[in-house]
Amino acid sequence: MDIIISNSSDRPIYEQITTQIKDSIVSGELAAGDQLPSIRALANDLGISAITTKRAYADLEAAGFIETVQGKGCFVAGVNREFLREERLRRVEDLLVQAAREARAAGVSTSELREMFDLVVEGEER
Amino acid sequence: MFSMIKCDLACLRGVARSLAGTALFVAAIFALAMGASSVLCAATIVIAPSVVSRLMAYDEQNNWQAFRQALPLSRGQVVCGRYVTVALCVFASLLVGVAVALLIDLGISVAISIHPDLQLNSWSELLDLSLRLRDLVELFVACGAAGVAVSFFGLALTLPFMFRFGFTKGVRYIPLVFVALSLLVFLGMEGISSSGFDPAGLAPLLENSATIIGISLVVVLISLVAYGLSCLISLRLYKTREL
Amino acid sequence: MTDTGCAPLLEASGLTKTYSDFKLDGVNLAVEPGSVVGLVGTNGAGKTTLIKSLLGLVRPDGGQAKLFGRSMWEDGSPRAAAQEAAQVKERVGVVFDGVSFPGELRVRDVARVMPAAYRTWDTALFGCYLERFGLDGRKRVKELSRGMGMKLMLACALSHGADLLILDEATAGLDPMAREEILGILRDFMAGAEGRGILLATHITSDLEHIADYVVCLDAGKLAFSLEKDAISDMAGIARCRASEFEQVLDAGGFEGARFVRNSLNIDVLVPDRRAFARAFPHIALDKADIESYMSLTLKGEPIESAYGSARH
Repeated sequence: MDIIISNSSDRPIYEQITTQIKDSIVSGELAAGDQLPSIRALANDLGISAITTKRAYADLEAAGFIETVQGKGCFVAGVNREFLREERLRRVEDLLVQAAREARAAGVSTSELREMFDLVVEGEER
Repeated sequence: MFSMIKCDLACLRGVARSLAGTALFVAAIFALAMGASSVLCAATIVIAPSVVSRLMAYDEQNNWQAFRQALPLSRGQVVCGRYVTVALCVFASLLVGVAVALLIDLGISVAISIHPDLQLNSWSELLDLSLRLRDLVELFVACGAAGVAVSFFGLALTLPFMFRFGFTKGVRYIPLVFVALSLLVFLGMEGISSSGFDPAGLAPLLENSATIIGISLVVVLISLVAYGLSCLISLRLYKTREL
Repeated sequence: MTDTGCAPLLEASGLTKTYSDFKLDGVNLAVEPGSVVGLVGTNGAGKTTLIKSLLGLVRPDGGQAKLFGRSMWEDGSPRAAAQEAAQVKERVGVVFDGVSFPGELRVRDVARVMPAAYRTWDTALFGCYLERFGLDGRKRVKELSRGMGMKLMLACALSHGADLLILDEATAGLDPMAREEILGILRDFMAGAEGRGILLATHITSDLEHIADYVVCLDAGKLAFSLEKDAISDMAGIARCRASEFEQVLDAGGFEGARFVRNSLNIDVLVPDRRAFARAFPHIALDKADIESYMSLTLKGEPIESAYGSARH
């Protein structure tokens, strides 16, 4: 698992960690049952405060992505297919919203946008 | 308390030989000057202050005593441990002094008996030697006791100052202490002579070796009591000292 | 600062100590299990006095200073209680500035002194550290370079199963490589077991950037601020404002808690939430804060509220 944090990002560090771990889980890079580094170990490796990593893990746990086993550590939660799919759908929707905004700003019409989308999907399928 | 004793002994370990060597050297000079090897039994008078100065000076180096207080040693343990270590050094130096004095004496006696007159006289010489040995024991006991007693009295007076003020400042009080002590002794002697008591009357007592040994032991015991009292005083002083 | 709900490893509450020329005044500080607390402040701000009070080297005039829930100052307590309190120090490793042993002592003598003091001394582990640091047993303490001396003290602090480390200017006078090495060792210490803690007093704030969880700042004996390090390094920012831009910020309002310093060519504004500020004023130059700049602006700057009231042109 790679985690890159950046000070120049417009998102707080704990959020960057949460997002990246979530991405890894959603993409399948991290499988259910995989152990995550301890709060302190992750903090040491990233050179950040343990409070940050603790917050990140707490958020992930609250969102259901990981679970803490007392005395053993943090593990990727047995993820529900529905849940994962929902998460993925949400990501697609976010990207579509972004595309729509960009299109409007560039003055691209809705029909033009739909054409572009079809072309892109075709291209991906090939 | 044993932790503190071990700490102090570990600190002394490196310098033990040089301390003992220097002290014995000084004592030997005294012995030569006074022409009596028994003076070496009182070598402790020279060794004890060296040991104490070294330990107390170490306390102030590199903040050692402050760091030591961050170790699991209570202040009471520090004071008692130091007192015991020093007492052990006094007795150890007594043994060393006696041993060296004995060696010198026996060496001289053997040299005399070997030298030219290797005849029947050698037996009488040896008999003389055994007589002299009895005197020797009294002399050694008396000198040893004097050394030990003076050491403990001196330590009893000076250690509290060092525990209260540290070595560098405490050392400045020592001349005052000895002036006060000399004054007391002087006044005491004045008192004795003015009361009409004639110390010469005690002379026959000193002929008896049992009395000599008895008096010596009593004096040593009194000095130990003074030493113990000094320890209690130092405890009180050190517990409230800010480091 | 509580997270686990367990008792703090180290705690000062309302701690006061008066000297003729200096006063430590009502300081609160705690090190919770699992956290690294950085204690910063200029030389003479009271860091060492605070640590001495916690260790029982000096007597607090007011308030409390406790290690593992017990006060270390002995005065008046009976012998058994004093010895019990002293045993608490089995769990504490202390590193002062410089080597704390008499100069004549050799490293191997140190290896004899420490087990005399600590019941839980691990000779093998100490030997490992000596080897790792390249410390020669025959060398006298006074012959060790500053860096080596520090490493010796650290080796002592780490070889008796301590749960709490207290370091007072332990990295002062060391080159950056040596400092980084020591910080790495401290990180390993924290990762080695649950519930450990470190109080790291230093005036080299950059040392804390990658290890501290909390930063406590003392200034002239008083507590200046006590924050999560993220609030400083991640959240806070310093806006470099022109005079006109500063007016805009004041007009906009809503930046309570910000502080500012008028420089000859610009005005620096410390804002607690730099991302919010960046969204509000994308055109104003904005830097991430670090502990040093945060300290500087907090101690030398004025609160932004004071600018609201002053006459504006």
